[in-house]
Order: sequence, then C-alpha cells, then structure tokens
Amino acid sequence: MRVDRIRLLIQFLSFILMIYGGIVLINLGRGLPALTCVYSKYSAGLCFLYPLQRFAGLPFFLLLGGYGILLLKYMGMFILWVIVLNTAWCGWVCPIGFLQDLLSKLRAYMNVDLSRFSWLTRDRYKSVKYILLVLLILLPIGIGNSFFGLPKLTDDLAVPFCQICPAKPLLPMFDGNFSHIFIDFSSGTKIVLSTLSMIILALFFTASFLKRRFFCSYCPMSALLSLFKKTSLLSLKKDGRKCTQCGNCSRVCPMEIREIADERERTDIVTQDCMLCMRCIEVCPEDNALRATFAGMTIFPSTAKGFLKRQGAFEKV
Amino acid sequence: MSEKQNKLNRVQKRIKRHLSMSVREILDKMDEDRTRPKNMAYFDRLFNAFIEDSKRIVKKENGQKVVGTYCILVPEELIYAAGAVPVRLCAGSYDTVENGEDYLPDISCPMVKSAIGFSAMPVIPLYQSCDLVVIPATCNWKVKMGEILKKFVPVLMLDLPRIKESENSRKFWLNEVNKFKQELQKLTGLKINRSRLRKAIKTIQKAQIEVRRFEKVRMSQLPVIQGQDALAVMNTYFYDHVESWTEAVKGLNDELEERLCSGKTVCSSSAPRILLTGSPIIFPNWKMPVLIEESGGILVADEFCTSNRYLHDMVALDELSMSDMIHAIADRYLLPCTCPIFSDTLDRRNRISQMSDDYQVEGVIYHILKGCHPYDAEMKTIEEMLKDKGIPQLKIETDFSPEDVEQIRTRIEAFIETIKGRRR
Amino acid sequence: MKNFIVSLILVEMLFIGAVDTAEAATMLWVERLSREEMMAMFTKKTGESKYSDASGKEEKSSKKVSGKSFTSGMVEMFYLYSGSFPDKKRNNTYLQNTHFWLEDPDGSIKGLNLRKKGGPYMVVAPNKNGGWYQLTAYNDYGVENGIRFHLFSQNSFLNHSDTVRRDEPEQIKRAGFYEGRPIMEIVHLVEDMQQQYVIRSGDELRVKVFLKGETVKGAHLTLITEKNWQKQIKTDEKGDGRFTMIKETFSEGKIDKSRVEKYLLIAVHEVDGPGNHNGRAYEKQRYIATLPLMVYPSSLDWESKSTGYLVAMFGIGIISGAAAIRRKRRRKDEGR
Repeated sequence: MRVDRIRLLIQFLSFILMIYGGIVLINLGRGLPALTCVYSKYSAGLCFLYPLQRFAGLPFFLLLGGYGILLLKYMGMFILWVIVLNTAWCGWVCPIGFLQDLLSKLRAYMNVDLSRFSWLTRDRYKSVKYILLVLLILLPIGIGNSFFGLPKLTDDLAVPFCQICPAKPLLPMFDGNFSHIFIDFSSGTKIVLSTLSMIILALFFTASFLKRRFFCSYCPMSALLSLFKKTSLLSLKKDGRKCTQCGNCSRVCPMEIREIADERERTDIVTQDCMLCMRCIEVCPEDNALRATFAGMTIFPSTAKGFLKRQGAFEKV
Repeated sequence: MSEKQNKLNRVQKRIKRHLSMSVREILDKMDEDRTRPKNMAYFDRLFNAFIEDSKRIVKKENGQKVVGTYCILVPEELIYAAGAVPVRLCAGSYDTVENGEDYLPDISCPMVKSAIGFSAMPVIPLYQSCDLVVIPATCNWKVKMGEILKKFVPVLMLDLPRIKESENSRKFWLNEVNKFKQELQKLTGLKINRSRLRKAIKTIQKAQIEVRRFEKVRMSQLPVIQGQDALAVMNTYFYDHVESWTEAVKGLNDELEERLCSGKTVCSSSAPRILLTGSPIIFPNWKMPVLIEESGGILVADEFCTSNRYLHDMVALDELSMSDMIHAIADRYLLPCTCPIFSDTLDRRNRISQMSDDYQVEGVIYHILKGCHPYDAEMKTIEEMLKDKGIPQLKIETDFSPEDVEQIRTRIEAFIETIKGRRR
Repeated sequence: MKNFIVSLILVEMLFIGAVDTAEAATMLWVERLSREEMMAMFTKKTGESKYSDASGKEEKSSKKVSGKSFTSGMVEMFYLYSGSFPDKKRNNTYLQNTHFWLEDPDGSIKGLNLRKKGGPYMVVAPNKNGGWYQLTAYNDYGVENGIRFHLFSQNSFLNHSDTVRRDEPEQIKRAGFYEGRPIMEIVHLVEDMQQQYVIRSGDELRVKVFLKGETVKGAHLTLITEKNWQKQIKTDEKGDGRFTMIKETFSEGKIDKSRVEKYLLIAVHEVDGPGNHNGRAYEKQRYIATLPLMVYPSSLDWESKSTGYLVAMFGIGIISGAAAIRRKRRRKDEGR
C-alpha cells in the first residue's frame, strides 16, 4: 500500500477543502489544529492560533466573564480534534504542509539534492517552536492587560504570530488576493513585523525547497499539538528487538527524527516533531518492527513484502 | 628453474592436491545423502569448480573487471553499477593456512592466513586474477592483510568508523563510499549513473527477496533442508553471478516449499534446533555444520557474516537522485552491521534474540576461531542474554585444522543430549 | 511612495473649478461631531461625564426633543453651519428657519424640533431600533437676486443595535419634501458594505442626485476639502457623479491611521420657471444640497507593496545563492 501517494491525495483534497470550502458553506469551526489561515476568504475552518491570540488579547475581566466560555468552546473542539487524529493534522491536512511537500516534489523532479540539518543544528533549535508558542500567548496578554503597573503593549502587536506566519501572504494568494505582501510603515513595530513576515516568506520558499518540511520544525501549532501526543488515539509504535538498526526510517523522515531508529526500549515513538506521515513504516524492512495504531489496534504494520513491493523490487529489471 | 622456484612449485602442487582432497571429501559425503533437495546440484557444481575448473569460477564476460572483496561492508551495488563483477575472497581452506603463516604470526586469524596463502600462490587463479581487491579496515588482521596483499594484487582499503552512533562517523563512511565510487569508475572507465545504479540495486534486491523466502522456509518446524546445505547456498553467492544465483535459489525455494507441503524432511522433526554464530564458516571449512548434523542436531539458523548477515538487510530507496542512492547504500552497509568490531553489542544481541524466537532455537553454538578476538570478546554478553531466555550456549574454539574433530564431536554430542534432556 | 500615488491622483483631476462664493454663501450643511469632540463638550458643560463611555452607547438622555423623551439609545450631535466650506458660520439668522427631519431605518420620517440657537443639536437613536438613520435639514431661503433658493443638507449615521422595528411609514406633509422624500437628495451609492462605514482616500465616491424623485442631469457637483481644494463636475444622464477621494494632509514622521478629514459635497441645480414667493418675483429656482463626508486615510499611506515584494525577492535570492555556494563547496570537499 503506497501510503505516501494516499497521503498526497488526502493532502490535496484537504487543501481544496480548507481554502475553498467556505464557498459551499462548510464550516469546521474555529479550533482547527492546522494552519488554515483566517485571511483566506473562503476557509472552511480557522486555525486555532488566531482565536487563541485574539482571546489572549482581551483584558482579564472580559476573559473571565462571558468571552472565556467562547474560548473554552474553541479549545474544547481543538482538543477533540487532536485527541482523535494526533499530529496527523500536520502531515495530512495542513495546507502549509501540503505546499512544502509540493516544493519537495518539485525539487526531486528537478534532481536537486536535498539538504539535511546537522544533528547539532536540529537539537539546538528544537525549542524555537515552544518559545514562539509562549510568545504568541504572552504578547497579546500584554496588550490587553498591564502587569505591575507597566504600560500596556502597543496595539500593533495584536495577533503577533499571524503577522509573521507564512500562511498569511501565501494562502490568500489562492483566492487571488495578493494584498498581504507589503511592508507597513505606520509604526516601528509594524515595520519590524512586516519585514519579518517578508523574510520568513522568502525563507519559507528557499528552505522548504531544499529541506523537507522546513517550517514544521518551527511551527507553534506543532508545539501545541505535541503537548497532546501521549493522550491521543492515533500513534506510532516500535518493537525494539525486531529493529536491525538499518537507519532507513530516520533517513527518509522529513523531520529528520533520529529517535525512530535509535530508540530500543520504549514502544511509543511519536516525538515532538513527528507528523505521522508514516514514511518510516513504509521503508522498514522488518516485519512488525514499526506499526501505526489507532486506539491500540494496528492499522499499518511494516512488512518485508510490502517494503519490497514499494521499492519496485518485484518488477522487471 | 631455480631451486627456490622448484620448491614453490612443489608446495603449490601439494596444496592444490590437499585442497582437492578436502573438497572432494565434503562433496562425496554430500552426494551420499539421499534426502538432499535436487536443486542443490547447481551449488555443488560451483564447489566442484573450485577444484576442477577454477579458472572459470567467476562467470565473467571478456573484458569485465573482477573486484575482490572482503567482509560484508563493501557496497556491491556500486561494483555492479560500474560494470565490474564482485567476488568475495574470504577463504576457508586449511591447506593454504600454512602458506599464510609465512606472513603472519601463528596465533592470528586462520581465515586471513588462508586468504593470504591463496593470494601469495596461484593455487586457484581466482585470487591473483582480481583487478582490484577491496578491504574494509574491520579487524586488526584485515588491516594488516591489506599491506601484505599489496605485494600480489592491487589493494584498496576502505576506512571504517568503529563507533556508528555519531554523525561524524556516518559522514565519514559516506565519504569513503564516495571515494570508492570514484575508484571504481577509474578502474572500469564506466561512469556510475543513476539508471545503472538503480538496476544494480534492483538486481540485488531480487536476490534478497529469494533469501527472505529461504529464511521463512527454515523458520518452519519441519526441517526440509540441512544446515550445511543452507550454508552452501549462501556461500556460493561469493563466486556466482547474481542473476543465475537468484534463479537457482528460486528453484530451490520452490522445491523446499513443496517439501513443506508434502512433509518430506531431511531428519527427524524432533532433532534439536541449533543456531550457529560467531567467526564465519567458509567452504571448505565444513567441520562445524557437518559435526552438528552428524550428532543429531539440525542447524536451522546461523548468524554469520558469510551467510545470514550477507543478504538480509536491504537498500531502501527514497528519492532517485544519485546522492540519495549513495546515502541509502552507505547506510545499509554500515548501520545494521552486527560485526563485533563495532563498539556496541546491542545490535547483535537483539538480532540473535530475535532470531532465536523466529527460528524456535533450542541451543546456540558459539564458534570462535583461534585468534579472533572480537567474537571472543562478545561471547559473554551473548551468553548472558541467552541465559535470560533459557537457551544454552556452547563455546567452541577451533581453527581450520581437522585435528580436533573428534573432541568437538564429543562436546557437541553432549550438548545435544543436554538439550534433549531439558525438553523433558 | 505615498506622495507619488497621491500626486498621481491630483494630476488625474486636473481642472479645478471654483464655486461661486456668493452662491456658496447661501448653502448650509449639517456636520456631525466626532466622539472626542462630544466627550469634550459633555465634560465641559456638566463638569463631569454623565455618560458611560466614549462610544456613546447606553446614554440616558434627559433632554426633551420634539416633545418626546427617548429612553436609552445612541446619541449623535450635530452642528448646522452655513458659509463657505471650510469657513463656517453658525449664527446666520436664516438658519433659524431650518426644518429637521430624521428618517428611521424602517422608513418612518419624524420631524425634530431643534430651535436651539447655534449650539449642537442632539439626536438620540433608540437602542431597539438599529440601522441607518438619515438627518435631513431643509431651509427655504427665499428669493435673492431673482433666484429662489432651496437649501438642503443630509447626514447619515449608523446605530449599531440589532433589532429593526418594522413600521408603516406615515405619509404626512413635510416641509421640503416631495412624496415622502426630500425634494433634493444626494444618495451615496456603495458597492462594498465596508464603504458605507468608512470612505478612505483613494476610494471612488459615486453619488446620484435626485430632484423630486427623479435623477438630475447636469447638476453641478463640487467636492471641497478642508484646505479648500475643490473639484467640480456635472452629473450625467443617469444623475451619477464620480469622484476619487484625495488625500489632503501628509503627516511627517508618525503616520496617524485614525486622522479623519472632513470634506463637503455640494450639488447645485437650477430649474427655470418664473414664480412668486412671499411677494418677491423670481425667474428660476436654485436647489442646493450638501453632503458632508468624513474621509479616512487609506492603507496606501502606510503600506508599500513594492517594498514587500522587493524584500521577499531579495531574500529568496540571497538565501538560495548562499545555499548554492555552500553546496558547491561541500561537494568539492567531499570529492563527489
């Protein structure tokens, strides 16, 4: 079973759904765990980070009043989505993930070698996404409330992550709306934020072309999802004894997770970066060394026969 | 002819005669066995050629280069992609050991001495007719062997990291593989491009499919093939061209699977199932498997670099760019390698543990060649792991000489009796 | 960048007509107070702010307006001015005879009794009736120089309440009205709902001029800014007129996104026909209507798309160049 082809198809359909679903009035709520940007006109659901930032920007007394219930409702939906599908939202649904995968396919077609992080780089910058997540909650709180008598932060910092996220200029382009590519000169904060947005957009294109899923290592949505990875139904398990340490799994992993290959003791190997794309299972040549489970039942184990079929080894030379 | 030349000629003739005799002895014994699968005839022919028609052991077209390799760390896909033919030169003949003792101390790896003996004297033309011999710097003896063999054949050493876990060591090995690729291109004059490499990978993958089938057959409770025959099958891969070997194994697999259905076995199903591991066993050093099976056990599995480990792991391709394929090849050859020259035993322990479950092994015989320190060093950890699983282990330290056959036989027979006793 | 765009707009509207100041002196307009001005007014008058917050919601009004007292609702305050925009006078005596009519969102039109001299007139839109309100002022100026003048002005505001009451509009006789609508009316045509709230510089303003319920061809439309820049056009057969809103002020240094400029749109139409009014004869009647506008700065002021594209392209170029160089060097090192 060519899972990567199925995944590409589902990503494509999700992309169409998330970008154009509003035309047929599909509304999946405001708690989606994927970067389905609020700035695209017909989006079928909103990325949860947007309401999170907006609500964090309200003064405390409003939040603890009626608005807090609304936030809890969105958060409840979000947690429900995450518990069912875990980080498969990143790998199978997110439109930014789809665009990055398309760029990678373009690169493979053009026969350009891919780049990898060195182990040091990857380990050093693992915490960037958590820092971004904390900042995107704290900064709006500083706008709505004043701490210890300090002045409130400027209003220009509202929805700070949305202003630098690459989804904001990119996804509205698919509606024909190119108006989000600009530098805003109205204040110092805005100049910095809009320049950062442009630089991150440039970085997105080049780095995602060269390295697979570059942005996902720094996405705060991924940081948020990784808080729930232990409690969710969809999971990835490994049998350490069957593993021959061939290293195929971590070599093909787009997120370059070494723990899949190196881990021998634990069975649960969904790490903070994993997006459940199941490439690792596809290239594992040992039976049942890696398997994907849903609520404890195995839905996709690794098999030697499946491996050889996918490698095309049965075809005529 | 000078006196020295005469003496060398005599020695060469003597060695050749003895070699023929030992090979003949093994083959005759094999012939007597009525229960052997018919398809083993192909492999017997290859061993026959070892002595009869040794010039044509390696089926190569005219002009094709022959690249000799040692150990399992030399990427054969690259050799095929460059248009050459790989031949594994690890040697198992006792007769050439004495020749090799001119170059190395007494207590050294007999396999290395045998290989040097083959290379120093044209006993069979194979060793001296290689256009290039590639030696990975694995154990100490192989490292020294490189320097010695340089006198007889052109040698290329591949440097190897001993600690696989760090990023630098993997990058280092990747660089070595790239350098090897350049050397091969220089040797054959043929550029390794993507389609040739892909074709080579696929060819070897086809062989690995058959090997997996073969493994599955041996995992079953019915012993349809003897362990010595299985070792012979894998051993012929050293000299044979991949495609014809694959065809032969395919035929053998079909016959064996049919035997599984019909229930035709080579010995009683209650024979104790033995796993053989340790220093490699290479034709014609057939002492151990023959003794085990003559003593009433059946060799169902082996963990040798000359048989099971050689073709078990497969190259996994992700993208079809040259650098990705080379990366996949480098990873396949380095990372799953359970050779004891690496610092960590965990992989080999896990592998033996998993194999003993898969093949329902009842006893493990640990074979150590005299002077082989790496395998000796790992013996205790393997023994402890097996003790936790409740599987007994027997350590046999020997070399290629036939002098200690009877002592070993006694010990193995006792071991097998112990296993039978534990069953009750 | 922003100056460049605005100067383009200025060049586009080349001919600058001038409205005859003598005639302009006879026009009036109703100007709405901004929130800040309202808050300043209340605190100044009462010494304290009796009203809850600057949004003007939930204010209890104790003033009696036109005999009724409204309960809680949205308060808007207006000044009635005459003169030439932007010079304004509040105390022309003829302004005393101005009639005020307030049109509810459901279409019912009520008269307002606002005879206070000069000072701001207060209108309360009740909370249970949300929607657009239009305040129309009509002054029958009389005859001057053989021309009979009718002066109109209108101003709309939005009450952000939810409910809309559905009432049958009463058909009664109103001064300055013809069959339920003011005799002369300027209607602001909007395509985008956003434009109804806020007009930004750079937007296009489309208006239709009505006289006695029919569109007027050839009416003079003049747009005047606070700094006295003017443009004059004539309405076409359908009574449409189009203006592109220009930007008047340029801020040095900090860009004030909330700075509002007040413009005025004046429609003048003459109808021939002799007549007699209050003993004075006239040959033609002149109808003058005004529509005050509040124009906000547009994002053209502070956004630069070209700079954004430049930064993005430059970034892509630099990063891919650096990556390519690094790769080439690494390939050479590894001897591939």
